Amino acid sequence: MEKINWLKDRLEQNPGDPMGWYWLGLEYADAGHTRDAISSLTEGLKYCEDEELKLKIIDAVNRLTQEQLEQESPSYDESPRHSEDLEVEEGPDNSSDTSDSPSVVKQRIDNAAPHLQVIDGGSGAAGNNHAADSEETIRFDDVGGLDELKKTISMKIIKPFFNQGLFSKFRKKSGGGVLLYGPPGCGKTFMARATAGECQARFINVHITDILDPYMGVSEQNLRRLFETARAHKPSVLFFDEVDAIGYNRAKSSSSVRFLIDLLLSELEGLDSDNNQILVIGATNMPWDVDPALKRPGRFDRMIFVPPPDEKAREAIFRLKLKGRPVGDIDYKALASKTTLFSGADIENVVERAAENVLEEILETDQERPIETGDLLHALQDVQPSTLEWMRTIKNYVKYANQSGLYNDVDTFLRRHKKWL
Amino acid sequence: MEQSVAAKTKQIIYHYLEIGRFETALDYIKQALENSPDDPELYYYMGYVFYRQDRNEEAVEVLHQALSYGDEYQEEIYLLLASICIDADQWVEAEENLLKVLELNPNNAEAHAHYAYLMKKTGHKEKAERLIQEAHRLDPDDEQVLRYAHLMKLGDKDKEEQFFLLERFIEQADNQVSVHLQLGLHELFRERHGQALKHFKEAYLLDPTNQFLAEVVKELEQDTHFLYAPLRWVNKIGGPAVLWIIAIAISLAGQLLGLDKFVAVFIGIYLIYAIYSWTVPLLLKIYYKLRG
Repeated sequence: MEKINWLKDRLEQNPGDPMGWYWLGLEYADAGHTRDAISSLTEGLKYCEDEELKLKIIDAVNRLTQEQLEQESPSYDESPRHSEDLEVEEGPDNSSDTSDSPSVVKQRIDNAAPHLQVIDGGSGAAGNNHAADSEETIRFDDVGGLDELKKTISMKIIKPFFNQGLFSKFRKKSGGGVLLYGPPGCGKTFMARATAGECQARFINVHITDILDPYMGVSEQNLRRLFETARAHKPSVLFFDEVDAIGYNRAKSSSSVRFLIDLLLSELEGLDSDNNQILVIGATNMPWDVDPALKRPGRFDRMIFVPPPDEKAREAIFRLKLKGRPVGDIDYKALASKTTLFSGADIENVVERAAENVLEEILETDQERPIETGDLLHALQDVQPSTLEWMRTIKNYVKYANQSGLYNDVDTFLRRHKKWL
Repeated sequence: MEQSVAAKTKQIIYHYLEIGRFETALDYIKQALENSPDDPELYYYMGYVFYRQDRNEEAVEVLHQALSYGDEYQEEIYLLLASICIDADQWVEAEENLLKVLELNPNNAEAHAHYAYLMKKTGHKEKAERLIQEAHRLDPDDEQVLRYAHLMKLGDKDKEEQFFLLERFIEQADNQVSVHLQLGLHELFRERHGQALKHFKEAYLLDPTNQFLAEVVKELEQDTHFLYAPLRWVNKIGGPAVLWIIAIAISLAGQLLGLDKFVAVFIGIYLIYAIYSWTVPLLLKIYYKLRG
C-alpha cells in the first residue's frame, strides 16, 4: 500500500507520466484492486507516446479485463439461481405450454443441458439494465390496429421463423436481421416485443448503454456476450434499440466506437457461429444514420417501416389512455379520425390536457363531471402530431435516396398522407 | 465504483455528442450533473450542446459556469466562446476569447485558424494571412485549420493553392458531410452550380435533418433547373438591370433609325421575358406537381 501511496503522490505532481500510471496499475493489480488497476492503466495510455509501453499497457489492460469479467460472471453451472438471474425476458417456451413447436421443445432441451455456454448472471456486464426487464410476453393481439404492419412482419419474420425446414431447403436463413424504422413514439419497441412473443422466443432488449464501457476491450466483450446469450437461449430475439447509436454511419464520424460496428457485422453474419433461430431486430428513427454496411444482405437486410398508428390503433390507444378515468359517452371513432399522424405519445398528451382542463373546470365550478368527447376535441386543437417533423425529413430524403426502392413502403405512406404533410 | 459509473456516463455523453444526438446527450449530462454538480467537464459538454442547438445565450451562461468550477477545459471553453461570438458577429468579444486561448496555449493551431478567419472577416487580410500560416505551421494536418485555410482562399485568384488546400482537407477529414460541404462551396465559388448541387445533395443525403443543407439544395435545384435557363443567361450579361438598360437603348436606337417594326418585336420579346421571369417560380411548382 505504501508503494501505491508513493506512486499516487508522484502522479499528483506529474499526472502526465505514463510510466507512473503503468506502475500504479501493476501495483493495484498485485493488491487485487482490478478496477483501479484498469483505471490507472487506461489513464497511462492517455498520455503514452512510447509504442513499446503502449503495447505493454494494452496487454495488461486486456489481461485484467478478462480476469475481472471472469470474476464477475458466474458460469451456468456455478449459479444455482441462474434462470432467475438471466438478463433475458422469459419467453413462452419456458412455460409448460404444450403447444410449442417441436423445434422450440428441442431447443428447450438443448438449453437445459448444463454443458452449454457460460452465461453471465446479473453482474455488471452487458444487458443488465434493459435486458433484465421482466415484462410479460406480448403478442400481436395486444397491439391494436396496424394490421398491414403485422402482416408484413408475419410474412417477413414470423413465417420464416416457423418454417425453417422449407427455408433451409431454399438455402434461406430463417433468422437474421430486420431493421424497424419510423417516427419516434410509434411503437417500434412494442412491435419488436410482440414479434418475439409471436415467435415464441426470448426477448433481449439491448441499448447502447448496455454495451459501452470506458475500459478498453469491455465494450466488445459486452456485445459479444449479448450474442452468446442469444445463441444459448434459442429461439431468441435480440433487439437493438437505437441501432443507429451503435452502428452509426462511419462516413459521418470519427466515432471512437467504430470497432463495435465491425464486431456487430461479424456477429450478424454469423462468421464465427450459427445465428439460425436468432432474430436480430434493430430499431431506429434515423435509418439514414445506420452504417450502409449494416443494411447489406446478410445483416439488417429486411427493412420494415413502422408508421404512426392507423385509425384502428389510435382508437385503441384512446381507449387505453382513458381507461380508469371518469369518462362520458366518448366517440372514439371521431377522435381517431381527427388524429391522423398522431403518435401514441401525442394521444396521451391530448388525453392529459383534456383531463387537466376538466379538472380545472371542476375546481372552478365545484361541479364534478366526466371527460367528454368535446373536451378531447378541444384539447386536440392545441396539439400537433410530433411525427410531422420526421415525416417531412423522410419525405425529402426519399426524394433523393430511393433509387434502390429501399424506402418504397414509406414512399407509399407519404403519398397516401400527402395532404397532411 | 461511483467513479466508474461517472466515467461510463461521460463516455456515453461523449459518444452521443460525437454522433450528433444532442438532445439525448443533454439528458445524460443533466443526469450526471445530479451526482457531480460542480464538474466543469459536464458544463463544457452542456455548453457545446447548447451551441450546436443554436441556444447561444444559454451556452455562454453554462460555459462561464464551467470556468467558475475549475481550470480544466479552459482552452476548449474559450475557443467555444470565441466560436459563439464569431457566429453572433461579436468581433471584439471573439478576439478577447481567442487571445485567452492563445495565452493558455500559444501553440493552439485551431485557435490561430479561428483568429485568422476572424481577421479576414473584419478586413485585416495581412494579419489573417500571417495567422493562418502560423496555424498551418503548428499543425499542418489539422482538419479545422485546413478547412479555414481553404475557406479563406475561396475568393482568391490563386486556384492552385485552393486545390492544394482542398485536397489536403479531404485527406484529413473523417466526416464525409464536411467533405461534400467543402467541395460544394468550392464549386459554388467557381460558378459551377450543377457540380455544387451534386455535392450538397450528397451531404444532405448523409445528414437529412440539416435544415441549412435542405435549403441550399432546394435553392440550387431551382437555380440549375432548365426553366430558369433564360434567367441564368440574363444574369451572365449582368442581370435584369443591365437587360433593362440594353432594352431601352435598343428601342431608342431603333426608333431613331425608323425601325418601328423591329422595336415592336423587341419590346414584345422583352415583355414576354419580364412576365416569364416573374412567373417562373410558379411554373416550376406546376412542373414539379405534374411530375409528382
